[in-house]
Amino acid sequence: MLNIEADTTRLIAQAQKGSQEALGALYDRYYTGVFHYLYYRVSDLHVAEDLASDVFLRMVNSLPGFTPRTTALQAWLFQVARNLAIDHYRKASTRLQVPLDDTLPGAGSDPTLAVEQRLAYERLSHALQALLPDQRDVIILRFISGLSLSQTAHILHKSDDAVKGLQRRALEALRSHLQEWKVEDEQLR
Amino acid sequence: MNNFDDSLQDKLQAIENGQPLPDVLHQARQEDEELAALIQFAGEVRAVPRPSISAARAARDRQMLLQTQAANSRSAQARRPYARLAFAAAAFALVALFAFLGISRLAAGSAARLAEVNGLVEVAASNSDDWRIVSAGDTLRAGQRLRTYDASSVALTFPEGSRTVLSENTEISLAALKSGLGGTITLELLQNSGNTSHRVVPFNGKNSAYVVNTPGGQARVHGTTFDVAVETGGLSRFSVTTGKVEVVNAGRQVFLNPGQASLAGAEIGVQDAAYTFSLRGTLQSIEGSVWTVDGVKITLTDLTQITGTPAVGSIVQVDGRVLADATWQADTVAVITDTDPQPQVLSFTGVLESMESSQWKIGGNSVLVNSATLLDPDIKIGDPVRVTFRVLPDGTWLALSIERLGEEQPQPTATPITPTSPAPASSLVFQPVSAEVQGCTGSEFSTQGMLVNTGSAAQDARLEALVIEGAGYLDSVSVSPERVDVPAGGSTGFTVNVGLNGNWASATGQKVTVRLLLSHASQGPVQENAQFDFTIRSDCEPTATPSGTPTATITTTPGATTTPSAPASVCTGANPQPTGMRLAAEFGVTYEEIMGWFCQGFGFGEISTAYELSRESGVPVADIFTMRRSGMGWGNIKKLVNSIDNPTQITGTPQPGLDKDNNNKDKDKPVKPTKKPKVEKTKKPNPSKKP
Repeated sequence: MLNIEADTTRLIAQAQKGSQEALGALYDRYYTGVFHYLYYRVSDLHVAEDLASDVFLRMVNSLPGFTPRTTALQAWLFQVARNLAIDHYRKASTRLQVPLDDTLPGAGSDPTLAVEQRLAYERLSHALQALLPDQRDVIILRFISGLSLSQTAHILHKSDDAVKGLQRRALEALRSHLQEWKVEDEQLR
Repeated sequence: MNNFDDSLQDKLQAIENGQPLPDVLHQARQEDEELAALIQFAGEVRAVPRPSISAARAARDRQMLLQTQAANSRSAQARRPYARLAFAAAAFALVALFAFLGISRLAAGSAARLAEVNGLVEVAASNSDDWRIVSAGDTLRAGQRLRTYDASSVALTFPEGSRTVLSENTEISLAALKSGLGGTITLELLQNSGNTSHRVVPFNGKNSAYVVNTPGGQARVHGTTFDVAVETGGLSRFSVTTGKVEVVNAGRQVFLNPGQASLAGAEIGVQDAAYTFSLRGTLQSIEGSVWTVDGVKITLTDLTQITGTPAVGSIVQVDGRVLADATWQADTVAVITDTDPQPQVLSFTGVLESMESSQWKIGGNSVLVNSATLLDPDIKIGDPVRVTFRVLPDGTWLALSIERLGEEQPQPTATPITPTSPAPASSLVFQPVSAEVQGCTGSEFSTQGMLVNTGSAAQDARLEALVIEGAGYLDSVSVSPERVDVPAGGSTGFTVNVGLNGNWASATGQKVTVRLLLSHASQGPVQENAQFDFTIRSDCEPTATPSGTPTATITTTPGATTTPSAPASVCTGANPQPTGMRLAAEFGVTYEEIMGWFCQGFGFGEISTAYELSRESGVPVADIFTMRRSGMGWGNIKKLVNSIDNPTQITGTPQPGLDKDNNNKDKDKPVKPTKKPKVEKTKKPNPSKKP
């Protein structure tokens, strides 16, 4: 079985020597996860794309001095993504707008499915914005980006035990928000 | 630890490991319906469709990334042959210019230089979130912020030669950096998170200051080497290697001597100084809050910060303090995940109490010293030391090395030191060598003595006070004079004043000991053993009045400790903000006025700039802030205000209705640290030294 961490370390070393193939491989390996994290963090497709691009630009600019001593590149990239998302909020200086993005891809050709998927995105995005920032991060990192508890703890600068508690509270809060809106939707019908 | 949280994580982990969801749900339902419901819900969140990625956009970004890499490589190659030459030429030109002008300290300006940049390090202005990547040679100016990421670090060198190293995941802002005439310097950092190490060279003049503010407290130093770690929630750990550090929180001061550390935080205030330990080894047992690391028992508390999931067998790094009751209390425990961890390293600090044969007692712990133990020369009883040891199979602690702490004075990293020519030896001794009084209630005690020179003339000998015992009762310590010239065969008097806090009233049976030491004399070496101990013993009875029982030339002066009242709470929280206090004093306006601007979103650097401009030009500070708010740059504002012919007086009145608490549109914005300002005592220790 391929040891992902060892392979990543090898790719970093090659990229540091200027290998475009290695850099491309790193990009391909981590772009999707970073983009999904950013999408659900900022709830705007285009902003998520811009921020993801910025994350990888920072990676390439700091590659010469990067030493993956205790840190997997993946956690490092998510940490950068998280900071950029926080900076984005500050710069925007407004509560997050959740656009119903007509360009949101993934619906395929089935219009019913497309509407359902868009509603799913929208509901989850709205509910995530109602959470506390750390709760929002733990839901996205754990259940959307698929990171392990330890990786999540590392990115959030918390202990594993702290994230266990945070994970439970985040799930409870998210479920509560979604259930409230579900009831409201049904009453409107 | 919460069992429900553990069970939830175990079940989620099982799913992540490939166990079918129905199987996990079945197990969970047998334990707890709510557990099963949450696992079911987590599964639904996992199943929400992810947005597809725009293939065109991803391809474009990928291409841009590769082009950036290629450009970086070309740029690095192009710079390489000329970089050193260019640097050398520039350095030569600068040195020549400064030497010619003779103003190197002032010309160094108000900027720190970044060196040894590793990984990803970014800088931003105080009022901006446009972070840009820095590289070695860049500068950090007052008002700017600096942050490091995982596996990243950076060193800052300041104009007068002090040096600060930021470890990974650290964020600071340089609140103030000012050089003045006579070599004075004011350097103030705000550390929001992470770990920093500081090597502070002795400053010129009493007006110089090196201050590190954290959400948990403030460290104020004057020529020392120390570390600051800010944990989750702002809890801050200050630890000292050489010199002395004053830690302040909510008006309480604690003085840390070499080898000592203290915790400070909003909830706990600042804790008493304690010697420290550092263990890197195998976690052998976990029995409630008492854990064993390579044979050493440590105690965890609610304040202990744990990183990772320590389990029996884990390699851990533990840092903590040895409390007065001999408890080894862990401040941080981190699981070491390095593939190649350092070998076992166990160490602690403490005062060398006895040296009987091969059994030495240090900080209450007995250690075995044998011929293989590395010892600092001239080590003696009473010295603060660091012991590196290992635990033998029979439980004995074998000392591998014992080093004396606090001897070294940090030296400038940028300014070469002019060697002094050898001089005839002086020999300074204290007469008497100790004094003791008894007293009770919050009081000031003083004693006097003589410093006698039995050798040749000694110039600029400095008297320094170290707190040996009872730091928790201390409010202030001062020595007068701090510097003396003693002619050959002559003598001079000195006075030590010790102010004790309110805790002293209930300190029955306790004592406070302050030791005077002589540090560098600019002419003539100082006798190493010269020291003077001033001990105050508690004779506290319910309504006792302090009384002196001199054993030498002693006077005791009972008196109340002054405690300034705290200013009104502002938008940063209940506690006054130290930089706000400083600016208010500097510009002669009220603290509330300064904080009014701050609460409107202006950084302290901007507030300082605005008031300076106002003072120079006479233009009302409110008008300057209005210009700034309109988007004008400071350069243009300066040009404009300097062109105004008929300015009026400064009338800085903050605009109402913009309280940050009510205007917090961003939940992610970090909470501004709130601290009490350093309280000015009637008597305070003054470790000022000239380099």
